[in-house]
Amino acid sequence: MLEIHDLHVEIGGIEIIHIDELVLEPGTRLGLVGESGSGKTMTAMAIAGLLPDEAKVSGSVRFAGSDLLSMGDSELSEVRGKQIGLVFQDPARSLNPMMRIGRQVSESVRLHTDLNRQAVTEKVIELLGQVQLPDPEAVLRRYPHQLSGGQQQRAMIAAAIASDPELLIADEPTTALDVTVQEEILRLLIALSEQRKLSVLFVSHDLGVIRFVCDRVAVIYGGRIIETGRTEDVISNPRHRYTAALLAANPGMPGDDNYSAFIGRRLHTIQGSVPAVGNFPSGCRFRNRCEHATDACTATPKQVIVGSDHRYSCWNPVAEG
Amino acid sequence: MPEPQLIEATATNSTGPTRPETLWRRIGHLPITLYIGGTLVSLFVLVTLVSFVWTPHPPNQMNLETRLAPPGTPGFVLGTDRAGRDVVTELMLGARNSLYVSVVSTIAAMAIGTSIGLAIAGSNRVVQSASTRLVDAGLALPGILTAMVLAAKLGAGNTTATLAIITWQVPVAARVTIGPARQILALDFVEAAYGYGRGKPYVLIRHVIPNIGPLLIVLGSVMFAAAILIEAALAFLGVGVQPPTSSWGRFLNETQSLLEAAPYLMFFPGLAIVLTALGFNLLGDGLRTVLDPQQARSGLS
Amino acid sequence: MIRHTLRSLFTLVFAALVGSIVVFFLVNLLGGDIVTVLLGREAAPVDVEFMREELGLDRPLVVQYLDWLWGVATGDLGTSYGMGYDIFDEIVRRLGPTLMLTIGGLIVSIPLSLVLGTYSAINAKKVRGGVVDVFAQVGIAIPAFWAGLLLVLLFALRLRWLPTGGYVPLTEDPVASIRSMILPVLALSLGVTSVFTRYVRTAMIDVMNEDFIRSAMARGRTRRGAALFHGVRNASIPLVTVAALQFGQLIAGAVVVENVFVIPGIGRLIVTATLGREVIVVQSLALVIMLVILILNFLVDVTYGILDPRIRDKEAVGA
Repeated sequence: MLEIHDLHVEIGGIEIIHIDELVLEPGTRLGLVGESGSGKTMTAMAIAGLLPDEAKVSGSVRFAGSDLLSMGDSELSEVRGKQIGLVFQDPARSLNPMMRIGRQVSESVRLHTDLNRQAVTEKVIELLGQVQLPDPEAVLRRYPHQLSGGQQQRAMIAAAIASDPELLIADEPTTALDVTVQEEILRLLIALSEQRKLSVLFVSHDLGVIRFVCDRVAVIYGGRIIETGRTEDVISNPRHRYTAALLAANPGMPGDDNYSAFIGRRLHTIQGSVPAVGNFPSGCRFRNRCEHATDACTATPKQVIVGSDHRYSCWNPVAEG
Repeated sequence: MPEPQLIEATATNSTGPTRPETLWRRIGHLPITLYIGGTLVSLFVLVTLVSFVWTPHPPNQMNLETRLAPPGTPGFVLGTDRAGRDVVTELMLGARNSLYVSVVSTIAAMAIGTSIGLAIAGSNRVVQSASTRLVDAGLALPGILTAMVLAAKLGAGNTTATLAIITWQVPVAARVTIGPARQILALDFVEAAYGYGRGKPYVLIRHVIPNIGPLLIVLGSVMFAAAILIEAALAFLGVGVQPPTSSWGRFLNETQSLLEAAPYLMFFPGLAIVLTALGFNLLGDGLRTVLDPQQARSGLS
Repeated sequence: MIRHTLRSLFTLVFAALVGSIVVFFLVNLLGGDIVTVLLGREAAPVDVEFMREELGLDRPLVVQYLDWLWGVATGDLGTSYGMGYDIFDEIVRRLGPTLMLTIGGLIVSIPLSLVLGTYSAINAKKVRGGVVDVFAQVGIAIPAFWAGLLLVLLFALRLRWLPTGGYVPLTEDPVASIRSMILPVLALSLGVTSVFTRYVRTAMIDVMNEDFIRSAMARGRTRRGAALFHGVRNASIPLVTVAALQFGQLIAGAVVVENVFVIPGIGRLIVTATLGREVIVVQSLALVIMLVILILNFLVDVTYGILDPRIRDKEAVGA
């Protein structure tokens, strides 16, 4: 239901994102995983049309029968909120501190429908209940600073799904929250997506979270998708060296049965750090940090398809099995 | 009039001073405000300096036959005033007065205000809290009232005007200095200095002042603009410098009764005041953009 | 919010005291002797002595100070030496025109600056946004008295649409009253509007970079919609406090504007008294005006405490 083809994002003459193809099937949850600086947030913003004015975008993002990239701001404003909902990272900053929760949650409803005040209020109470906020009537009159981080994020989610969108884009929704609260919010997102047949594009740097939430995953590095596939396949059988390195650097993930096996083990880190935007090498963008780089890697890798839907772009991938 | 630019300096943020070296790195990309402001200020200073050496007509010479001559009259490029004095000459002499009062008052206000600000920044929490309140109280009092009080007691004149401007501006300078000074004092290398046994005064002079230097330059420029406007206002009201010394403000006052007879006359001193004040304000703005890039994004260029 | 109000009240009282001490200090400790100023240097020593006793200047300074404060509170400020009027009565009489002028100035400048500042911020990267900013810059440099003269020249003398000055009380003849106030209010507003506009512009630009603007757009607002419905609201609340800081400038402007347009208000009174070396009058006048401004500041501060929900609820949440 969301198809990205040939997406190029350029800022200040430097190409930041180049995605040949990325597809999200209806009713599924796709994870977009990468380190900071990988371009994952920018990709999400490009889809929603929320990039800064200086960004030049080309390609096509097909959603619900039209190409989002060909739309102007006012056309997109019809799509945002109504068909695409967004949840951002830091709920404290993503909510207007001077406006009551109720008003913010109801904003998309008031913008896209004709409901009268009474109906809107009822809808907000219902939504706040669905995101498991206690005492919705009281909450809707409150201001953001009066809620805890977890509550704020629930309110943001309520606001995002208020007009019953088909797609939810969540950009690191739990990263800024307490660890104890993270799992609850993730479960909430999963539940909502199942109940409402909501497709989710889940952006995160945390493989454990992605594994918990998403059916499929796309790994992004240097603005390029380097591996995609079903989450289980990619995690158990990573092919691209970067994916493998990411997994090795992860000490353990929530719900991982073998967690205890990771305790006491030395953390494997990826040498170097993500280069600044203009400084990626030619060919495979990861080759300068890759322990297994070969001469072939100076050319842009071609995509290889494995199994039922596992794709990767690496000249010297991890062996099968 | 006074406060505006300065309130802005405190209301937006003083992200902290830049070290003088980084200033030179940025000079390649100068904002337009700097050029315009610089030009106007240079013009002002130039005219003033020239006035000491030459004016089109002898100072204060009244040519009673050619009173209220319009601009373009031979020998009087911008015309004459009610007493037949050449407008250009009057403007040049008025510039002298503005420069004199503004320089003295700005330097004094900055010296006193900055010292107070530094002292407050360097003191302990209790003293700081109380003194900052004091400074804020001083800021809240309208300067024009103290100016009037001074003038009533001491009589009108340049000294009174200068004192009035100083009283008006000292709290401003103090307030602007406190924040950045405190920031610097909180830095690690200052801790190190204390560790070496250096005392507060040493640290303040040797470390804080050089680092807030750029900030003070900007402040000075803006305060100068305020001084120009205040001096003009006081002179306009009759509370500033008295005849026969020329002043733009008083000149402007005289044109009020001539609005029917010689309407063009009021443009000249008025423009002089505006362009000079504008020049210093733009210069301050331009300097601020150069020295503090965080503010640059909301600046003109 | 209670705590905030109390703190504002404390600031009010503290500033009032500081102000009164500064004024008292300037009058009594700077320059020559008050009586000499009032009577002139040629006055006979006998007269000087008499006056000194009359005015109570032989008493200790502290006593004089307290007595003066008491006078301000009870409405007994003595009489003008030169003109013989009762100081307190005269002040009260002249408050009307000045209030009308300053309040008119606020009524014009606040909405105007919100519009201009927001427009300039939304179009910050385009030429037209910059143009507004340039005008605001210039507006700050134009003294109110020159603006007044320009307006008089154009609208009163050339076009003859409006009077050159004078004042008509609102209660007497509303239409004439407003007509006489238009030009003075405009002259006064120019500087203040320019300052506010620059502030609103900066505040809006800052606000537009905030995350919640992106959230608003995510719910279906266009960039402009987000600016108007979220940005303006957030930026305008602090505008209230900026406005308070400008009261001093408004008064300064009122003083000169009243002189240009011959409006019988406090501004004219203080100038006349100053030129007449009426030290006693000016001393009390300055304090009264200061008090009015401080009280207005206090009211504004309290209003801000009500408007900003974070301050309002600070105690409710136990923060």
